[in-house]
Amino acid sequence: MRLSPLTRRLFRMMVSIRGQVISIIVVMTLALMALISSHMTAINLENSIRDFYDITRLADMQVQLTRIPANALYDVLRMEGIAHVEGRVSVDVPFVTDDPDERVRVRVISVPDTDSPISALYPIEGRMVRSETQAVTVLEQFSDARGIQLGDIITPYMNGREVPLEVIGFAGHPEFVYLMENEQALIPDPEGFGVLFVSEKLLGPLLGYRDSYNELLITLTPGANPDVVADALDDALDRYGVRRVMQRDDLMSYRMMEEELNQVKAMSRVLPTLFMSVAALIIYIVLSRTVKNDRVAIGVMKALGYSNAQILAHYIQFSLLIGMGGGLLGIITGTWVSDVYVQLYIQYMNVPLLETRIIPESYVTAMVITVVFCVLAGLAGARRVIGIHPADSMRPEPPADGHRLLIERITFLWKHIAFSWKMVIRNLFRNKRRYGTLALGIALTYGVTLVAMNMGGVWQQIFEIQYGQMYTMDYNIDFKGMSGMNTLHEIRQLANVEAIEPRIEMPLEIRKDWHRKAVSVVGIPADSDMYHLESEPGVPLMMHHDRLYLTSGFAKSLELEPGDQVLVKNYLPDRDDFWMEYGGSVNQYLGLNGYMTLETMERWVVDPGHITGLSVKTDADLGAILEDAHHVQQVQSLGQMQEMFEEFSEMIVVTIGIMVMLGGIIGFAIVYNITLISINERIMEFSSLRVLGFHRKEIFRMITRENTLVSVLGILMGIPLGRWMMASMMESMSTEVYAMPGTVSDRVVLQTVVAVIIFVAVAQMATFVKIRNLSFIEALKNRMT
Amino acid sequence: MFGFNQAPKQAATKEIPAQPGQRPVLIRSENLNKTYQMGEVEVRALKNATFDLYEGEFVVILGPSGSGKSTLLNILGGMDTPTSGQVYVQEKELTSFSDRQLTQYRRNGVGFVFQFYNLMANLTARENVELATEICTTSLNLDEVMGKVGLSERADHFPSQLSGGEQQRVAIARAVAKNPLLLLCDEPTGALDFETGIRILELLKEVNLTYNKTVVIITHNTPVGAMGDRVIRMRSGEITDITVNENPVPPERIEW
Repeated sequence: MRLSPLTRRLFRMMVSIRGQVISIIVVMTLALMALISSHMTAINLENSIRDFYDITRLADMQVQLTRIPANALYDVLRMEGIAHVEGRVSVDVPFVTDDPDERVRVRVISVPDTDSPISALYPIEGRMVRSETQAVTVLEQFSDARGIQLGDIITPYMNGREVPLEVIGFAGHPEFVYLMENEQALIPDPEGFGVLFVSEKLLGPLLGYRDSYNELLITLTPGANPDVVADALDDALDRYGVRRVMQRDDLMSYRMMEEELNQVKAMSRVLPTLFMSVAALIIYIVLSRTVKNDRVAIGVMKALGYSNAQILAHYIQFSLLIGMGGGLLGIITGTWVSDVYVQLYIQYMNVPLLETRIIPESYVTAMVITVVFCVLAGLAGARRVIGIHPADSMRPEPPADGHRLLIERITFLWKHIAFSWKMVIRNLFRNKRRYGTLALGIALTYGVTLVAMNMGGVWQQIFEIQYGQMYTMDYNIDFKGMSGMNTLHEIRQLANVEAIEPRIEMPLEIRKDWHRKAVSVVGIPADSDMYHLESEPGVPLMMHHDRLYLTSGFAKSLELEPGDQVLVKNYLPDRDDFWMEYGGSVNQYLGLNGYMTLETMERWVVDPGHITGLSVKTDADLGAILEDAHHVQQVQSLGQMQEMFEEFSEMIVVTIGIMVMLGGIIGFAIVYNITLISINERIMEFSSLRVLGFHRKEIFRMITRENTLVSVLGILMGIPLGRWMMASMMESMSTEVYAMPGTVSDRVVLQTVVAVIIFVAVAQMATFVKIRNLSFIEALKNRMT
Repeated sequence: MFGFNQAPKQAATKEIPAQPGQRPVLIRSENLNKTYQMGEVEVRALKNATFDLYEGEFVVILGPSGSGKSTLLNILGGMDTPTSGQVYVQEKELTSFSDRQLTQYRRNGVGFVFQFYNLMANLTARENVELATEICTTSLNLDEVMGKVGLSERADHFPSQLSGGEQQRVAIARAVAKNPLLLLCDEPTGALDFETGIRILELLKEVNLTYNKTVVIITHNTPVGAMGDRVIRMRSGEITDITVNENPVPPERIEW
């Protein structure tokens, strides 16, 4: 195939500016890599999760109650909208380990001896427990984290004694894809909390649930309204001590997976758009400058009879070729990165069906977006082709306007500026567009780098705020059920306690119009010394009695405004539902919660004088002291949580590195391209200066001064731009559970300044090499490019 | 024959009878006026320019800079439009052509030679010519034309590797290879030394004779007028004089 002269011209042009072409291709590759990897991961994750729920028949509804006899299940089954119902026993107990200082908890769940139970085990290895009375099937994350092998004997502590059980298999479970003990745990800790599945025959008699259950699993008939069924169940099962009717959305694992999916989807929109916009911007700049410099050539093409469309197509081919290069590399790298993501998900979550499947739709989406972006950027960059008049293009362009600058009129100031600086200042002001673009490019680099640097720090920031500033207790103690205020005094005497506060934490359902959502509501003293809640960053929340406060993401999902009345449904038996005023949102980054004053909880939710837990400040090892306290469900150490997060943040350091590198690549691409274009346009000027006797060094100095001034301007513009980008990015990533803070600390602002200066300096060096290799004499000889 | 004849919009036509004993009229220009607005000043670049160009003749348009000759050339070449007046090319009214028709006209009807050659720097000599022939319907054999301008050996060189004279030869080859109705040359020797300039003029004359092309040269260089079949003189936008050279001087005898 013989290429047309125009195509050959295009290829040669691309080769001659290969540095620029490569840099744009790299940015384009990153854009598509981000797009394909996140898009493909999101689809794979979503498909496999849905399949997993289908195969294992995840319950549509789960009811926690005090006790329900097996024969009462038939009544439940007769209720409208219910397709299947199963009972099970579920209990949280300590897990005996070799290390006496280690506290591990397990949820022991009974499995019915049927063929296709609701929320079934997903076999991974070995056998699934059915009727064996001394055997256990272990949730895979737990067995992996603790190195449990088939045939091992493990020992949960149940009903006051150790119960040794033989491990016969490992399984996945739809309720524990994301393994969390409760709503307060925010990241999975598979070593500290696990799930054991045993036969109903073992657990029932052992815990005194012979022919009765404390949980129901329900599937609904197609078309049934879950809210209506939930209400009906709530009423019908009242006498069995219904504690909570949970729909799928109320299941922690289910909700976390949905959030995760939403975040991956948000990422698949935000990051690629950012990178693609940068690539498009550079293409636009490169093309518009190329067209400007090709003015005569375009005039000649027109004189030869080339039409506007043909010439436009010639230049748009440039961006399309870059798009194709970036697209191809993006598809390859994106597929690879998607696989890395999927492996990470497999490592941290238990979706047994998850695997990297090639999603052609991702490729098609990527290619369509690439073509649209490239054609638009190409059109925008080359649109000036249309306006070039062949006759005019042959005439030299009129010299630039040479009027005095405003600053020159301030004679006092102007007089004191050295001549070499005067040249620099004049250059800047006479080429406003060129330097404006460079400043904008640097501002964008700053913005992207700031987002990158801050993104890595966001999680750390969240943990620091949550566990350093908001919660200042050392321990949170949860009781088994309710306890009296006397427990507070008992514990105060047991350990050297610096401060202690009562706490009432209850799940409540909040209803507003058609919205209904369950949330764990914490009752704390109005003047709590351990909970430092804020309504907005830096603004302490003043809590009033008889009002409900909710974390902002949760309040938003209910479409609540301060002053609205909400119906609060109490899961405790024999307690009435009540109306309460929504007092406002709580600015909390991790987790979703409701808050009330302790007095409000006592008045409306529980009986007066009853508490469900304590918050304690102490240096003592409260975990060890309360290990055998029979009424204590768990002792949560905030120090331990912080340690867990620190481990978690080691992973984040790698992420920061990658993000900063991406910011650097973008920054380099922008600055390198713009500076090179500007230098190419000024070859004649530099050549003339050389002829006048200027040294290379002097020309370098002049450019450096110009670029320094522009960089300062760019960075000054970049700071607010970066803050805005960060805020809008976090806004788009915020979910009900995570409110991502869009704030940026001064430290990060300064770090980014340093990073951008480095990027600019590196890009400058590359351009200096280019200047050094320029033949000035050749430049003066050539009149046409 | 020429692509622009097939332009979609039907252009206005006018029958122009050839004078007995004369060659057929290729281009007729009637009362051409061109006015530019330069800030607040109105510049009249062309004033009532009326003349004919005949098929196969060699015409030199002479005039000092600012006399309007480049404007006239641009209008004849379909690169610019007059403020008033008409141009007929083979009886079709060029001045009523649409943008699309003008492009077709430039593509198939005219070959341009510029003072500064205006070659594409990143195309070889041959590719520069190919750039023009690729889009026109009746192009000549490329190798033959390259041979005619004496550049067969240098065809694969880039413009930066060619001398000014050689570059101008490429430009002429590019204009000729399209096999156009007429060749419009804007100061074709302006950037060249005397000897190279003479050589280029010889080449243009040869093209005129070999291919029977109408060649129009505009120049401020008065002695060049001696080689034209006719000389059109211009001053301040007006045609001051049209002279027929009974005995045109061969280029090699011209001196300046």
